[in-house]
Amino acid sequence: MKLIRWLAGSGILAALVVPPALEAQEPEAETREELLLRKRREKAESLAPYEITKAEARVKGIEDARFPQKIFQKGWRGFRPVIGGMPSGSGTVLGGGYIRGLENEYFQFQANGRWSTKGYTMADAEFVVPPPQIGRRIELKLRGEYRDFTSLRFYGLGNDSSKENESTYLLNDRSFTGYFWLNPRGLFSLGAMGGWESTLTDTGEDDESIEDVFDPAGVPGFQDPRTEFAFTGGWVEFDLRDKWDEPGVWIIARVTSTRYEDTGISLHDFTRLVGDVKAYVPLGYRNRVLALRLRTSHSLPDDGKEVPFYLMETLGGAKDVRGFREYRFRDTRNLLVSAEYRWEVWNYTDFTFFFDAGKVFNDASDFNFDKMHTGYGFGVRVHAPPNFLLRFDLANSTEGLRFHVSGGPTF
Amino acid sequence: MNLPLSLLLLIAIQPEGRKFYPDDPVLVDGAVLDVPEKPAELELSDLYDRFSAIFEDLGKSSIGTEAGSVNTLDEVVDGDWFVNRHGAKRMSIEDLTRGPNRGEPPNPEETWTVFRSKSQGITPGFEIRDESGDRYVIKLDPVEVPELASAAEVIATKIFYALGFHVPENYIVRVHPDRFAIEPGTQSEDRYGDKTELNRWRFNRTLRRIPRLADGRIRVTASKYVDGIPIGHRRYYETRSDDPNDVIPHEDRREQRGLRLFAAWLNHDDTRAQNTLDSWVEDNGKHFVRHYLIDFGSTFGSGSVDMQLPHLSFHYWLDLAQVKKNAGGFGFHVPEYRKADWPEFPEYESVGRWESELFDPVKWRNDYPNPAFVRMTARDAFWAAKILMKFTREELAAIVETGEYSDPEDARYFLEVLLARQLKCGRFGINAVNPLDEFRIREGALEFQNLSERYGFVETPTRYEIQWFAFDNETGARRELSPATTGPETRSSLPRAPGPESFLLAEIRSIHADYPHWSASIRVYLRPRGAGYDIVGVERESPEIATFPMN
Repeated sequence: MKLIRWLAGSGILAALVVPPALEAQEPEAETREELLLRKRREKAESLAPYEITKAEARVKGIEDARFPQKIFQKGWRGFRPVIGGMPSGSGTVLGGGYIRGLENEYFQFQANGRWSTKGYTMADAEFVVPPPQIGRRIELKLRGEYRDFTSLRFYGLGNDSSKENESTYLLNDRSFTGYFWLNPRGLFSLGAMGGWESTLTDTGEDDESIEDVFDPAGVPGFQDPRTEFAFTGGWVEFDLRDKWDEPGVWIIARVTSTRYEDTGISLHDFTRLVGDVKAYVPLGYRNRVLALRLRTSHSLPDDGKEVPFYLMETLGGAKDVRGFREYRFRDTRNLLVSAEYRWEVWNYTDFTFFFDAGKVFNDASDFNFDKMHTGYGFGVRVHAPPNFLLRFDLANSTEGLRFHVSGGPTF
Repeated sequence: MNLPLSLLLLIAIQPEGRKFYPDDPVLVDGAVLDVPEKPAELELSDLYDRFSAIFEDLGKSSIGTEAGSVNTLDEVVDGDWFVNRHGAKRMSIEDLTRGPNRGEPPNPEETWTVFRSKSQGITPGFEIRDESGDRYVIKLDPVEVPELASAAEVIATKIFYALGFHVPENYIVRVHPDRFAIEPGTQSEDRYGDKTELNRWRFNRTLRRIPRLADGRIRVTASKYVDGIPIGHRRYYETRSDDPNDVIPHEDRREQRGLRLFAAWLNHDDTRAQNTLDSWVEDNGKHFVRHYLIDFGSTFGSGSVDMQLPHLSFHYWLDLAQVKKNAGGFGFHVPEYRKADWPEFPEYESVGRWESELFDPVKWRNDYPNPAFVRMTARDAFWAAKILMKFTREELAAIVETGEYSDPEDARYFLEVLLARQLKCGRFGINAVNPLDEFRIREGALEFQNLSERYGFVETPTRYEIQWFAFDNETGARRELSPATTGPETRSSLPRAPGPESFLLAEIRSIHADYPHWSASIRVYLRPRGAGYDIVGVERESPEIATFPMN
C-alpha cells in the first residue's frame, strides 16, 4: 500500500496508466544518461525560483530585525525602554534609559528612569570599567541612584510581627556608590565598596501608614529628618564552582562587612556582617542537584545608636522565604536557610521544589533555628547563556500562596 | 522489499522490461544540463528551519523508501553533490592531509585586507582578501579555549572531503594582527545587525582578547570562498525548484542520508540547512549548481563558540520527548549525556566534549530531525559505513595532525576517540544488512568480501547460499541455472550461460546465527562482454529492520 501511495503521490502512477497512444510520442531512451536527461529537461520546462515560504519570510523578518535585542538592549542610539528593576511588590515597572558601550568599548555607561504602577520613582546611572564581558578579572563600578518609593510595606519589627499590622511608609533616598572587584584568578575574589547615602522616610501613601498602626517612636529612624550615611565595606568570596559542568560539589561562600556612619544626625552608626554560603550538590548526576543556602546578617549598632528600620534586614519575597510577602519580617539580624531540589528539564529550563526557613531577631542569643518561618513550593527556571534567568515560583506558607516572577538567581 | 527510487523511475519511464542500459553502471553524472542564469540566492530563516523540522517531518517520501541518487551498483554517482574519493580509491596520506586545498593558505607575511566584519556577538569574524585577490572567511577560536574550533574545523574538512563531499578549503594560519588592513568603507556588523564603518581601533578591539602566541600572532581559520558564485543555503528536503539538474528530493539522496552516519562519527551536530551552501559554478563552459557542506566548527568536541554543550549529539536542541521524560521524571530520569565520562578539563579543553563510550550511532542526534537523516535506511547506513571504514589508523592520525594541536596529548586523545567511534559506526552500518561487497570477477568466478568479517565485527564464520540464474535484460525474466549451494567460500564459479547475450544473476544470502537478517539476498548481475562478464548491477534486499527512526 505504501508503494501505491508513493506512486500515486509522485505522479508516477498516473504516468503508468496513461493510454499508450498518448504516451508513445518519444522513442524509448537508449541510455541511462538519456533517461536522466529527459527527466531534467522536463524539469527545466517548469523551473521556479527557489524561495522561502511566506511564513518563513515572516519569521526571518523578525529574526533579522532582532527586535527584542535592539529594543531592550541596544535601543535607538542607546535610548531604550526599561522593564522592571524595582524591589518586588512595586507593581508593574516601566521606564526608559540610555546605554553606551555595549560593544567594543573600554567602559559601559547607562542611565535609567523607572516608574511603577504603585507610584514609585527611581533613577540610576552606572559607569563600569571594563564593561561586562567573559573572562574579565577586574571591575570598577560607579553607581548613583535616586529612589522614591511611596508605599513600602512594614509589618513591625521582630520575628513575631503580625500580618494584620500591615502598614506602609515612604522611602526617599539618593546614593552614590563605588565598587571595586578583583578576581586575580581561580577560586577567590575580593571586593571593596564605599559611598554616600541620603535618606528620608515619611508617611506611606497606600493603606495605613506606619504611624497609623505602630507607635512611631518604636520604629527606629521613622521620625528622623533626612539623614546621611557614609558607608564603606569589603567582601571576600570563594567560588568553588567549575565552568565545565563537572559532577562535583560546588560551593560559593562570601563574607561581607559594611560600616555605616550616620554623618547627618549621628543616630544610626552601625556595622553589618553578612555570611552567605551556597552549595550545589549533584545527586548522582548533575541533572539533579540539591542547592543549599545559609545566609545570616548581623547589624551591630554602636553604643547608644540604633539601626534604622529601613536599613534592617528583611525576610519575605522572591529571594528568601518565598511563602511570605516581601518585607514581611524585619529586624537587625536574620537567618535564612533554603533548600532547592532542582532537576533539569531542558537545556534552558529547570524545575525545582524548594523549602525556605528564616527568622529575624535582635538579640544574638536568638541566633538559632528556633521559631523559623517556613515556606515551600514549586518553581520553574528559564535560563539562557550568558546570564539570562527568569524565575517563576509558587510558594505556600502559613500566610497562604504567593506567586513570584523575578529575574536573576535566588542562589 | 522497497525498490530503489531510481528503479521506480525506470519502471515509470521505460515501456517495460529493460533493466540495464548499455551505459550502466553510471559512475559519473554526465547528464548535467547547462544552467545559464545564476539562480537567485536563498537565505533561510534559522529559527523557522529549526522549529519546522522539530514539529513536522518535511520530507515527502515514506520512511523506509530506499534512496535515489544511486546507480545500478547501489553506489552514489560522482557529481555535483558527491565525488567518490577515499571510499572508491584509496587516497594517499598526502592527498588526505591536503584535502580540498588546492593552493596555499593566505600568506601571513602579506597584507590581508578586511572587507567585511562581524565585530562582536557569539562568533566574531571577518572576511579578507589576500594579495592575490583570493577571499577568505576568517574565524577565531573561542576566547577562552584556544585551538578548539580551528582544529575541529580543519580536521572535519579533511575527513568530509575524503568521504566525498564538496567542502571549502580551510586553513589554520598564524598571523600577526598588524598584517590586517581595512578596506575603506568596510562595514562592521554588530550583534544587533546594525552596521558601522570599521576602523582600525574598532578592529583591534575585536581582536584584543584573542589569545596571542609568544610572537604576538593569533591563530585563525581561513576558509576560502568556494568556487563560483554562492547562491545560499539549501534545504534537506525537496529539490531546488530553480535547478533542472536537481531531480531527486534531497531527503531521498543516498549521500544526504548517509551523512547521518558520517555526522554521528564526527559529531557534526550542526548538520542544518544553515550549514549548507550552493554555488553556481562553471566547468568546461557549462554552468551548474554545486552543493557544499560548510562550517565544521561544531564538530567533535567543539561547539564553535565553546566546548560542545553536553546534551547536544544526544538530543535535539529541543527534544520534546526528552523534555517530557525529564519533566515527569523529577530528576530520576537521567538523560544519557549526564552519564558521559568527558575527558578531564581543563587538560583536554582544546579537544572539548568528545567521547566514545556512550556514543551510539543510532541514538546519536544532530540539532534537529533532518528529513534526510530520519530516512536513512540500513542500505544507506551500509553505504556510509563501508566508506568510513576505509580510513586506517595511520590515515586518521595524519589527518588529526592537521588540526595542529599544540599538546600532542590532545591529538592522541582525539584520535583514540575518533577511532573508537569509527568502529561503532562501522559495526552498526555494516552489520545492518547482508554485509557482502567488493564483488569482482576473477578467474571465472564471482568473488566478494564479507566486510563484517574483514573488520572483525562478527565473531564466528559466515556461510553463503549462492544460486545462479540466467537473466533476460529485456524482459526481466530469470531462469535457474543451478540449485543453490551453501558453503563458507566467498567465491562461486560462473555457470555456463544459455547464450552469448544472456546476463547472469547470482543471488547470495549470508547465513549467520547471530545475524539472521543477513539472509536478505544480494543480487549481482553480470553482463556479457566479449568472452567474459562485467558486473552491471548489485541489488540489496532491505532487511526486516531497515529504518532507524530519530523520534
